[in-house]
Amino acid sequence: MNKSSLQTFFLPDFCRVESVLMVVLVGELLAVIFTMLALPNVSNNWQLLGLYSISIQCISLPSVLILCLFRPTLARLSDIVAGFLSLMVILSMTFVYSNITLVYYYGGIFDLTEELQRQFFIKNLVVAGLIGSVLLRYFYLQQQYRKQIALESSARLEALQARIRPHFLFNSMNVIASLTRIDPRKAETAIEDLSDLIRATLDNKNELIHLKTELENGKKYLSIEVLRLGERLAVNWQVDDDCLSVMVPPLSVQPLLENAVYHGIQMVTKGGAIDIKIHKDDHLLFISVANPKQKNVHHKGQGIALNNISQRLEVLFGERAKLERKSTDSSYQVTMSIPLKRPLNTQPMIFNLR
Amino acid sequence: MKILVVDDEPLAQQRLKQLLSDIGSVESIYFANNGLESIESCQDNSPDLVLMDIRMPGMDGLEAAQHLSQIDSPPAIIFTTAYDEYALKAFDVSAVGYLLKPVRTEALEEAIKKSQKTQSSSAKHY
Repeated sequence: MNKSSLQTFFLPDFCRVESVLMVVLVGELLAVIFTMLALPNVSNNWQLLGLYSISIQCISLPSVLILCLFRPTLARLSDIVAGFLSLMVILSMTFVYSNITLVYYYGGIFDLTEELQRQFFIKNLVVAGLIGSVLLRYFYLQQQYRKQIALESSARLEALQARIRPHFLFNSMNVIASLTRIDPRKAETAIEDLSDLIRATLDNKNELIHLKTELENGKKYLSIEVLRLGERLAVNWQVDDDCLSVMVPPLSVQPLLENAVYHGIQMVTKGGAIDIKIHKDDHLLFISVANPKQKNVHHKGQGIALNNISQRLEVLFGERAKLERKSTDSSYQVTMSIPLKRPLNTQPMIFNLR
Repeated sequence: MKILVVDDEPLAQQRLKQLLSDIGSVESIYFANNGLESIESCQDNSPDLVLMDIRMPGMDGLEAAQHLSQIDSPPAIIFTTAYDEYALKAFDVSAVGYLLKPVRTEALEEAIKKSQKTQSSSAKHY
């Protein structure tokens, strides 16, 4: 529970170097704005800028440190309480810093009954409070926005979940019905393979799985098709070992194999071989599936499974993932390239959640 | 009764063979692997009934059925398919029946009886 509430908490993780850098930059931006507003009534603008910079950084950096340390605790509270406490942190830091300035810069003694001092404190606290509230509100809205995007993309992914082709399901059942009398052992294996495949299509908990698992599903699928098509179907695998641990979307390779059988091998009287080649470079995993096809025949529906995969790739990896089709008179080849690392594209704005 | 089983899958052919031998009353069974072979087999063996798969390489079952309906004393045709997206098209080529795989023995028996009735009734016209 802790981990998930931390991940969805609206306050960014200020312990990260990027976040601290952004805080410093935003602080400087404010310092410049305050200095500009004071122009042209001041004699030494650079000195004023320096003063504002030090003041802002001396308030914001300790606040950020405290928020960084207490983020896990704050994440367990409700958003309103956490926001209120964060604001209190900023205000306390402002109060402490104002006090230090009063004593060491102006050489005064803390006494709120003095009109000038009272104005000094009120001004500082109001400014810090307003800016703090605006920033907290911004973080909150950004978080809501990100939640929305995450929800939408997971809903889209769910809708795009690959499904088992009814043709394949019923043909497999027919094969099994036939085998129960001829070869019960084979029928048993076929039922096990088919169960695993159906489980894989129903199971949509994981957005990414190891290529190894996906290839195992593909092999189960092909072993059923080999039963069905007999000698007409041959399969050549060429998989580099270092690719097996790469993460890929579930059911990204299996539908390519299914297409190769359904639109390719099965429609060629003599049958043929499916060639599967998988390798990677520094950034991308390349999966290519090639099959013979019947000359000059275009089958409707060929694109549905492919479009489904390419849409899922887009949701998960953005534009860096690709699906290319190459068709000649007698062969068809699909090449899919998948980035080895998932981009942080679900976190589009300045601060990152994780 | 002579029956021709047309299917590109060996195990699907075996399955129908099993069911037909369960039912009995079958004089002989022939096999063809695709539409083209089914036409050849019909010319050679002149079966009474054709159990025709639809999705096959080369010539599909619908096209083969169309050709078969044009020969002299055409056989009755029952389509067998795994999924019913072709059902309406199948009746365009005047099939006697339409069976979904895996086929049930009772359904096959029923379809065969129906085909015998239609054949005998069409025979009376001549």
